[in-house]
Amino acid sequence: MRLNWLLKLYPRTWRRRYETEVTEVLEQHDAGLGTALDLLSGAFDARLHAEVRDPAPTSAAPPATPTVRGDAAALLLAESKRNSARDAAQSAAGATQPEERSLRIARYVESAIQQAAASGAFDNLPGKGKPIRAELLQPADDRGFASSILAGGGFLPRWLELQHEIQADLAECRRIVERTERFPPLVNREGPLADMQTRLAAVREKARRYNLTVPSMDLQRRLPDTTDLLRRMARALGTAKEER
Amino acid sequence: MRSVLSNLGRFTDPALLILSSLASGPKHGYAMMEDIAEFSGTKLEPGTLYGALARLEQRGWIAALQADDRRRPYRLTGAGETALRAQLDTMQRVVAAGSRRLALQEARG
Repeated sequence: MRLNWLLKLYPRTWRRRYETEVTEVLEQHDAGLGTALDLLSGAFDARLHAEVRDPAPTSAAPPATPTVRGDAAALLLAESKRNSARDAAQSAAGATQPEERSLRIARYVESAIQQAAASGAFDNLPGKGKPIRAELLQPADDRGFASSILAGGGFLPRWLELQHEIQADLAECRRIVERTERFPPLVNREGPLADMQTRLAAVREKARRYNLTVPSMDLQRRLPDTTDLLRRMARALGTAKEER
Repeated sequence: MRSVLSNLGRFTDPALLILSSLASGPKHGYAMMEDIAEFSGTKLEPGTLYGALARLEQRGWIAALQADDRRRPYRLTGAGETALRAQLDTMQRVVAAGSRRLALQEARG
């Protein structure tokens, strides 16, 4: 059974370090289904655990080549040289890797934007070709800036949308209560009350969802107090207990 | 059993087998598998072997030597030897206690 392809499931850092030797082992090994499953779980393990995923690189070129049975002093010397080379390589890698990664991401984002522009994704956006409004450039914070750009483009983040919906729903409830107060129905008094209860419960649920999705605790709000509206509705319908 | 190797989780046993195998001198992956099968009867699969090797290397208990063609030998380090000794000591205490108690049972029965 040829199983080398399973090594493709391992993270790249692991493969750089171990793929050659494991391929060699697999060539000699009498591999079965158990071997395949073991490699599969090994790939998951390597992706989950940094200590397996990011092995120390071994130096590519041997300085001197003491054999395994070579004299102990030469072996130790080579080992310490290799270790210091590895440490140097690691600290150098530590300095450049995050930078390299963000460069890669920036390049990817840039090319995605270029592609989108080429395919016309940015045509017909509101505000195209017009000067940027000055208030957009004086945001309260970065997030405000991003939000105002999104809003300017006709997009609202979901939590902001929720906030608007909650206000609209509450206003609608208030309108219904006021109308009922002015024109109380002559029959079917339980129906409108149950309906109001459902509406208010939905608003409170939305408010709860809003609090869970806002990007910052500072934006969280107290749940709207809906008992007053419900009490007014009950009174208007004549179903309130205190009026019986 | 609390021991030096026990924070290796399911790799505790493979790690002990690897350290024991390297105690007789450096070996590459396949040689370790053969050696381990011979002295313990355990057939390690490559995925498990390399999961344990990577962890032992990270802890500095084994070290990779220069690859010979496509095979890379590993050797036991000083720290690895200490860890192996500590592990075997713990196991020996368990073996001694268990054997003593079994013998006592037999004497009574």
